[in-house]
Amino acid sequence: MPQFEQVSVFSSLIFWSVISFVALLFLLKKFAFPPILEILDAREKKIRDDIEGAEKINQDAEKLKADFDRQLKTAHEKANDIIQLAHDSSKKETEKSLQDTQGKVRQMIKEAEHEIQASRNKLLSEIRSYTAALTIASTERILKKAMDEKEQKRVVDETIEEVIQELEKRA
Amino acid sequence: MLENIVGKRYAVALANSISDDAGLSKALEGLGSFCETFRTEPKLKNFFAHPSIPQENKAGMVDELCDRFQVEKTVRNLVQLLTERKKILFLDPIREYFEKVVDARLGRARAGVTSASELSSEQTGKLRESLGRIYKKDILLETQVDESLIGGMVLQIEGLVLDGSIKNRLALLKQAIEKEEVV
Repeated sequence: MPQFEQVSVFSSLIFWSVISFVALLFLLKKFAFPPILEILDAREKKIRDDIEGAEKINQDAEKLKADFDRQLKTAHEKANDIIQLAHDSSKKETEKSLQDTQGKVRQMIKEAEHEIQASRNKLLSEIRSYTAALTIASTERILKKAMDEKEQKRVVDETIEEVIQELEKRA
Repeated sequence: MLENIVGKRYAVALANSISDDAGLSKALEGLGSFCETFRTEPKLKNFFAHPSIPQENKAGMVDELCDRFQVEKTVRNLVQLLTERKKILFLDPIREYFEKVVDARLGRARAGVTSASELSSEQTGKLRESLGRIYKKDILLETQVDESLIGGMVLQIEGLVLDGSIKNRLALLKQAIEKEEVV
């Protein structure tokens, strides 16, 4: 190739070019690359830290979420317990109130029955008493009219017989 | 209680001081007269109970009453003793107990008969005879009339009461009606 045919012409150029390249490379490596690498490292580190921080925040958030979920669950459970307790208490109160009311109603019924029975007995007693008084008064009036001298004598004779028989029985 | 004790003590003492049966009956009669006078004259009780009236006046009154009733000496002595000991107001229980003592000594019993109408002599005789046979004693029958009995009679003898009156039968009937259960 014609280009390679002129190597001898450009050899020194090539040489100096190489030397310049190496020198540049050296200088770059010595002065330019370190700060750039340092910046890149710092950047990389920052990014890594950020990522780690983000992960940590994420983990913390997860933890917080888990805590929150747990607390929420506990709160739910407590709320359920409270609701259950309130429900039970209300049920008990209702049952107690119902029992009390039933008891009072039963007592009232019992008292009413007693009162009715007492009134009935009193009424019957008054009726019996009145009937008895009426019967006796009527009988007494009739007997007084019917008891003439002859009848008086007959009754006394009968009574004397009864009295004597009674005394003989006792003797 | 005290009346009974005093009555018994003086009645027994009086009975023991009289030996004959006639004397007992007379003494009983004399005591009865005193009691009757005390019953009919309440002022007499006040006179003997009054503490400011002298004892001599009370003794004089007793003598006067004894003379009027012509009581036995034993009865006079007893009443004077009761006046002295301020126990004249116990005369009623003394008479009651003395009556029992006299009846016991004379072998007799008292029977009270209350009837709605007057008993005939035949009825009282039958009663006296039957009671005498049952109690084996002479019966002193004391009768009285209570028209409220309507009919029949009530007999009281030695603490026993037998009520065969129509009034009592009606009362029993009334009780039976009142106790009758109604279903």
